[in-house]
Amino acid sequence: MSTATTLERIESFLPERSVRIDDVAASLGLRRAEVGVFRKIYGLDRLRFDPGTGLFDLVLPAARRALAALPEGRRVEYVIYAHTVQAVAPPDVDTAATIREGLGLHDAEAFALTHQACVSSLGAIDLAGELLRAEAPEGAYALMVTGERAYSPKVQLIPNSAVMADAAAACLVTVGGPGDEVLSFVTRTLGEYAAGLEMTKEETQGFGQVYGTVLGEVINEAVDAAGLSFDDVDLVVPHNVNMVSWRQTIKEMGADPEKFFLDNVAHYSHTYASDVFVNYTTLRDQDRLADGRYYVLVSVGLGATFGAMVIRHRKR
Amino acid sequence: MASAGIEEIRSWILSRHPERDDVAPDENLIESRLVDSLSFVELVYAIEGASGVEIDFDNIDIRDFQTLSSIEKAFFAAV
Repeated sequence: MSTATTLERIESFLPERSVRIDDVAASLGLRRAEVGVFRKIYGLDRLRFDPGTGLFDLVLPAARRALAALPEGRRVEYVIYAHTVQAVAPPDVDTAATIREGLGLHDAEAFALTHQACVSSLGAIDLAGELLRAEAPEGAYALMVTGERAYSPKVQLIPNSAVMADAAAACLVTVGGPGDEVLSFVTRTLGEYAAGLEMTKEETQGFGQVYGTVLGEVINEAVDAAGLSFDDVDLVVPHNVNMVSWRQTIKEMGADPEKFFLDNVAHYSHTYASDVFVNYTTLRDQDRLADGRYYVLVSVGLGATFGAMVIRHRKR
Repeated sequence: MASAGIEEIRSWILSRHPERDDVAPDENLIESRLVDSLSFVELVYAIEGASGVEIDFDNIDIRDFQTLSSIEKAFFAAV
């Protein structure tokens, strides 16, 4: 039996309420020029944003749908809740345990991961595979869950970069299953930008300068680690931070822009650790993922971690 | 001859990139990372400061910011 991590079912959930970035500009304290730059230069337009949706109302629907793909008689050993913002609920709420109970997975081990920010979801898949191989009974599963609300202007705006939006996703993971095979996972963390939202102007400028180069290198390292060349890759399934950051990365890589699925930047904006899974489900639902072809899931987390995971899609 | 406004923008860019002596009129500012994704708003304010006119975002797109030539054409031509 193969010992590769496999992604058995990916699902996502977006609240119905869709707003334009102009609608949230006032609450975020955005100046006219900032809204203009977000809209016309960064390519943002609409986002899902529903203050009436609670955290677990957001998280559980996608998790339930992914869990429905669990084969009869099989068991979920781990529920891993990956989130970007460290405080997503009051301190007396154990979010991972609450999600586990909400899913009825009472015997699973539940924990959260957050320290790679928006890359935490890819990191959680990697970790799930490691745990399943290391200690779980053969044929066991893990459920990786994302989803967090842009509950305050403090966590909704990354100045000069992104406007965060609501979404959730889930990925049912096992080892050696018939699903998408994980071929490689590469991360690079630049600790000099650890201050994240609190970076100085000089640090922010430095981060902007290295961003495209480092992200391009990490993507190419992941492709190389999978034993492939970038020509073998059908599509990059990216984060939705903004178009300019991708334009610079694509230029650095000398890559074909058509290989980067950026349609959802204008529709959904940046949804924390959920972007790549939201984009994956869009592509799958449009029948744009081909059996046996290679895709790179890419995310960047403030703090700053760059992550890329190469998968081989298998239709099922 | 380049307008005084565009010279101000050229100086603004060079002040952020001390390793550079000049910026060619047709050099792509975004792709060469002379203007990165985190400094676009500042570029907008530099252009507005130099032209004395607020940018009408409904009538521009990213190509207007791509080179010093396109910035001059879009924002300083009538000055």
